[in-house]
Amino acid sequence: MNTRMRGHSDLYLVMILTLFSAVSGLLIAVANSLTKDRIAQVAVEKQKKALSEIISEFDSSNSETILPDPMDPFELIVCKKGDAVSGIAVKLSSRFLSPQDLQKLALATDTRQDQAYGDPIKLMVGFTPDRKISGVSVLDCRETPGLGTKVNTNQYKSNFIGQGIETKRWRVKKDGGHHFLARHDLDGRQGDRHLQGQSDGP
Amino acid sequence: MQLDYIKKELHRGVVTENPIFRIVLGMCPTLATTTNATNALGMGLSVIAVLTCSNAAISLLRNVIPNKVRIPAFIIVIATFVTVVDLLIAAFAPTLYEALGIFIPLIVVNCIILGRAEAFAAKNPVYPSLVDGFVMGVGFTVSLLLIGVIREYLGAGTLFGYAITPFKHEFILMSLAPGAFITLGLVLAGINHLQRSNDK
Repeated sequence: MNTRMRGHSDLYLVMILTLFSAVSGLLIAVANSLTKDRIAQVAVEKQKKALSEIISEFDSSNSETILPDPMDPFELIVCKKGDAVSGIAVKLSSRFLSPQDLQKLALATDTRQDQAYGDPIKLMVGFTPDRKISGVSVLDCRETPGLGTKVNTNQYKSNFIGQGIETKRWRVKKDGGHHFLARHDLDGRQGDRHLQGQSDGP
Repeated sequence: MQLDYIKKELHRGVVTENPIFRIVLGMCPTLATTTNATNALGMGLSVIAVLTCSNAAISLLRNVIPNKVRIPAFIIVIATFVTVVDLLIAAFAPTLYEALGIFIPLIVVNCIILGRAEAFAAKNPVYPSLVDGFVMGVGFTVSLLLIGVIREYLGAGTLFGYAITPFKHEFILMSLAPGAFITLGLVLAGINHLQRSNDK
């Protein structure tokens, strides 16, 4: 008689599902160990490319990564040309950004950061020495179509270039968009078009 | 003999029981990932890998899986293969990984995969289930590729990123969501028309 036709105790069903999950976990662990080095290498290459996009001129062998605290959710990368600082890149991940984290970065005081739909959205924002944004690059974004995918368009990213970080508020309007950076009003539906920067103070 | 069997099954997967054009399953990735031929092919190949492996594994385990928990057990098997494929694409095809984004993990909930597991693999031996997964995956890939080729050519004037006409033309609507619906609708209408003409 086929096993599927017999009645089974709840304990047996739990054991079967536990066993399936354990084997599944094992297979994924093997796949992860085989691919993690290559994935890390891809991430480093992507970060190098992002840096060259958002910081205009710097000596790539002369950039310095600063981790203010190992528990901090962001990295600061100081890019230099000769002895002069040509720009600072800030690497952010949406998963770990709390209002306090953003305060540390002087980016916002009143924003809520939720997890993204897929993995966290990871951004790299470049600043010039005079505290203006020199570029935004999306390191990781796995969103369904909508504002989440529009953050990766040049049209959207160019909205931020040249903006100061202290005098304006960025905010995504409540029409279906995700909460994103802070301190400028961004139209969630037309995310790549509007940047309504009111000077309403830090 | 074996070749005839494969040919017959391929005909079933690509033509008579095509998962997109005949059974109309898996519409989410069909509409979302066919912005160009490369993405369509990438998604299609990912689905072939997951569908073939999951069908074979589920068939192999069909007498061990109790009927009451068969759906969660199938989902665990499918999710395992999807995660492995996701990691492999992230490691070895990062550009495709970026382009397909969230739609690779979403293969887990693709109705074609669970549908074939439930309708075929859970009731048949390993070899026919493996072949069924492969041919259904090929049918899915061919369909996605057809829509991707049409959308890329009309939307950007290119095929697999290469310009194929001497003049440059762009029809941005075809690269956007409405272009997916329009193309799918027209292709479905064309296939139904051909089917009816053959039936007469």
